[in-house]
Amino acid sequence: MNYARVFWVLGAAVALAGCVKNRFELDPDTLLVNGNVESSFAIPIGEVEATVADALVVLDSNGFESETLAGGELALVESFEILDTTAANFLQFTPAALGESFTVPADVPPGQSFEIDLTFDFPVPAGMILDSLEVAEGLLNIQPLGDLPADAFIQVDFTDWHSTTGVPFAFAIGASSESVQLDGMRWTPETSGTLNVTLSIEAPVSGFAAGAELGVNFAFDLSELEWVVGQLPDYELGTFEHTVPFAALDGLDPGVVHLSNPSIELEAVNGTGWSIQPIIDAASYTTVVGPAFLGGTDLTDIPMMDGASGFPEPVPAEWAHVLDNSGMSPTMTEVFEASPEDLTLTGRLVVPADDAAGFLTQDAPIRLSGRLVIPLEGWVNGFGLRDTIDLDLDQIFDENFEGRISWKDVEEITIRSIWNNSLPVGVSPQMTFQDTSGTELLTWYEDASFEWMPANSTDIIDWVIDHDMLAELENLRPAQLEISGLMSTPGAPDETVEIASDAVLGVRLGLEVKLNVDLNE
Amino acid sequence: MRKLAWMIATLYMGAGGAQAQFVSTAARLSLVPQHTDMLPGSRPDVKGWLGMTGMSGLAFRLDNNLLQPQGLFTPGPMGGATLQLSNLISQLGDENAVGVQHAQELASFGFSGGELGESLWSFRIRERAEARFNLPGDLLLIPFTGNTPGSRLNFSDLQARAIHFREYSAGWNRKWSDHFQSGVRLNYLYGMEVAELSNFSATWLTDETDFSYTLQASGVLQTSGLNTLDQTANDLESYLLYRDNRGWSVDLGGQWHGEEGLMFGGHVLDLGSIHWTEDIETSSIESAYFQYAGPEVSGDVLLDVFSGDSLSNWLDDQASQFDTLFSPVVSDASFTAALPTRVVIEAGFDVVERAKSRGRLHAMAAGSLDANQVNQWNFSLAYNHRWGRNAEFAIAWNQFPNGFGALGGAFSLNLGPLQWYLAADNLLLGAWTEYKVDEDVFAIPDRMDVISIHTGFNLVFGREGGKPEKHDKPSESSAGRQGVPCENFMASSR
Repeated sequence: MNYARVFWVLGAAVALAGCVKNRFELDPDTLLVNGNVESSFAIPIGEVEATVADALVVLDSNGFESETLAGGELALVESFEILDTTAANFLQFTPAALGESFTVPADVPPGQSFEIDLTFDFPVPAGMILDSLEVAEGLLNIQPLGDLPADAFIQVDFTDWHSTTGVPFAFAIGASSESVQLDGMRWTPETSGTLNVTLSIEAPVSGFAAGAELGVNFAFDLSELEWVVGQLPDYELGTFEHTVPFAALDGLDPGVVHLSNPSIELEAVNGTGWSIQPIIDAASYTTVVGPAFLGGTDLTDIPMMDGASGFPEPVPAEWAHVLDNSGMSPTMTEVFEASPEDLTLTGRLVVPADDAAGFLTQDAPIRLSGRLVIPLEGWVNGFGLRDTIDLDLDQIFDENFEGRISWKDVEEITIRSIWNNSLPVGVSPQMTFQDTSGTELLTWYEDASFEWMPANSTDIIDWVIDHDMLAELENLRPAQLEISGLMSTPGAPDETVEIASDAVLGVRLGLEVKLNVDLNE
Repeated sequence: MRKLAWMIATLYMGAGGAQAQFVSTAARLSLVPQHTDMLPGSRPDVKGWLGMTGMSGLAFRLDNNLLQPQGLFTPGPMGGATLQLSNLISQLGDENAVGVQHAQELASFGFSGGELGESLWSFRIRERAEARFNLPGDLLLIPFTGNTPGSRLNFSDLQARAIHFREYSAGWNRKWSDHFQSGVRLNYLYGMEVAELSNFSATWLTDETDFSYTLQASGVLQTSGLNTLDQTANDLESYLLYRDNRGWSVDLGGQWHGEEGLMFGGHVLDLGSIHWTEDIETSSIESAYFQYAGPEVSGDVLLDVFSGDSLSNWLDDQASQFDTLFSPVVSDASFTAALPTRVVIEAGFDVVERAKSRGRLHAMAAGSLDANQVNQWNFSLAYNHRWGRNAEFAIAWNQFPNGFGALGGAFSLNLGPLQWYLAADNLLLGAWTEYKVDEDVFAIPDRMDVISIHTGFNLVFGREGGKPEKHDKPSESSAGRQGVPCENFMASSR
């Protein structure tokens, strides 16, 4: 074997094989790519999970709160105040101006006195039979009348009045007007509304001649009473008129939302010693067609409020009354289905005629409040919650992919939703593409791929948006996207459900984007 | 900048792993002292040599299974070029490594000794730079495949190792009998720079059901000499001679020769380590997991999370958590880094034995024992032929771990005492393609799996040994070594 020959043959083979066989000009403007990039990216979007109680927090701004009722059932509650005052504002003694002139019966030598008894009708609140009272803050102004010399003295004794320690209410004044504080004075008239006064007038140095004209004026101002005891037969403590706005419930259309058991719970606190009868003179609600009035036994047969006990440290009595479907006409449910703007209650608080003696202290509260209670009990049939967001698909792709990928490169988008729905309500998400004026261009919820999430279930639902759907969108040029959820209870409208406070609706979302990118475009 | 350039250069050149195995075809040149670079248990068929200073051994090898130009482009329909995307994607496998190995002998000499010349002593100073960089296929393929639900993208194959060091070696080969000879080479190591990523693990799991991510990562990156690399020019002497990064390694091996021209050998290379103490920076990430499932909104913050900057703040918080989890712990503690130990096994059979020439079939497998590497082996089958002590050539078929096979060749010529040798593992670089980018024109082979060359000049001493009758009558030779003269014994051709 000629090894040298073999060597050279091999060398020649290497040389021949090693020549330049191709030349390429790699110009980005002319470089083509054969083949598409077919990739798939899975992206976790996040999870939203909320109990109904959490979700209802949104209604707080409208005055509603969520509350779990005794049975575990969730309710929307709107509280309102009808009346909140102290009883003293309802039972006030008007200022009393009392006066009387009299004649000196005989000559009265200097240094001698003569007495005279006076009786006045003291103005008490109409119909009140006063047993006693204590003045917290008051003033008595006394003005002598007639020819009373400057050196004369008058001893004044209010025989039915005394201090809290039992000291009689008596004092002396001169010939000029005087003011006396009544704070802490108690009045226990022998007869309701009768004020007895004994005047003892000491003659001056010049003495009194028989027939001299004298007199005295009393001005009582009982601005604040510590307490009053007596009877108030058939006494109207006050009136009320309150309007409950229903604006937050706008949209609960009949046939869509049915609330089985709404009610208005009235509550009261009575700090007076008298029983009080609430009287609702009128209950009305306003609809688009005008006002409508409510009736029913819940409005006419209102239980009486008991009086407070434990004078002089009274314990207020509490009272409650419910206006619900059972005693209302039309029913509360019917009221709600009329989509009222508001509901107005007009009435009075009256002490019954046959009530026994009672009392009133300075700070005795009288509060009347109400709660509109809407248990989440009933049914919904196609009730929707919706929100709209601006949408510019071109901008989305430009900003996120710097224009390298357009939505034309998207082969398919799968929106994966992992649902946890313990609500007795089925949910169906919807996507509606709109133009700038909000006009619907395309809806996808009608597509079979947008499935219902049944009530009380856990499931994975994939919504697939394919290239054709995207292409259709491209032609429509949507400007905004309305995302909404359509909710219905199973069996509506024949069957009602209750929503427990711990019922959860959760959804975890993920996105899978399949691309088919033609790099030549 | 210089540091960066060094990193890029060494990483691109990449070596130190299983693939870079010197130039295996050169190991077949038994007349060349440098063939023991890969086969320390063998001995050159010379009595002594003196390497040409700085030129006695220059080895370079590029391993590339990241991307081959072949098939990437085809002529465009209107001129220009068309990128064949499927060919590009198909090339991105699990392992996408680029490595380079460079070795240069600064000094080399050797001489035989012993009563019968049975020993051969050698000394060598050699500069070595090796690097290897591997990009995980899953990482490169993300733009083309994405992260499908249920996918587990594994980036644990990310490898980075670069080292620059010098060997001061003393070797001793001895022939113990007609059947067995061995060699050992002790290397004192002087380290200059190193960067090594070890215990690296990283995965990205996409949940099949909810698409949530689980990211995991751990690893240690140890470097030495990189922070002060740009200052080496200011104190070159210290850089070249007085660094405190020292270590030892040993190369050893043995060969067994049978009666009928059969030979078997086993060799271990780079069994040792360097203790790095200068300019250390160790960045460690303990195994950490990061879960990302998007914002989870519940309770009364339901409507607040997406208002204002809430979502942005949440994302910032997630990024902060990510940073905290995967923030490396940095230390300057010295460390010891083992060299990537290699193992070579060989077998030969003399198919031609004549008075003036010898031909041998030789098979060799070389692999790495580096725990951080996938044990991949090179296989090669060679025929080498030698004409006395004047010339030798070898051709070899080299089979590389990525399936690439190439024809290698080598020769040595002794022009008097001057010996020149040249070897390459991939002679058939095949077709080349010329590329024009803007105004730049360059040509590269269509297949760049392996490009290697090993060449050098030596002054060799010692006449051709071995009586013809010894080769012709191997049975007589094996009958009694006692009667063989010393020079004949040393010059025996194996």
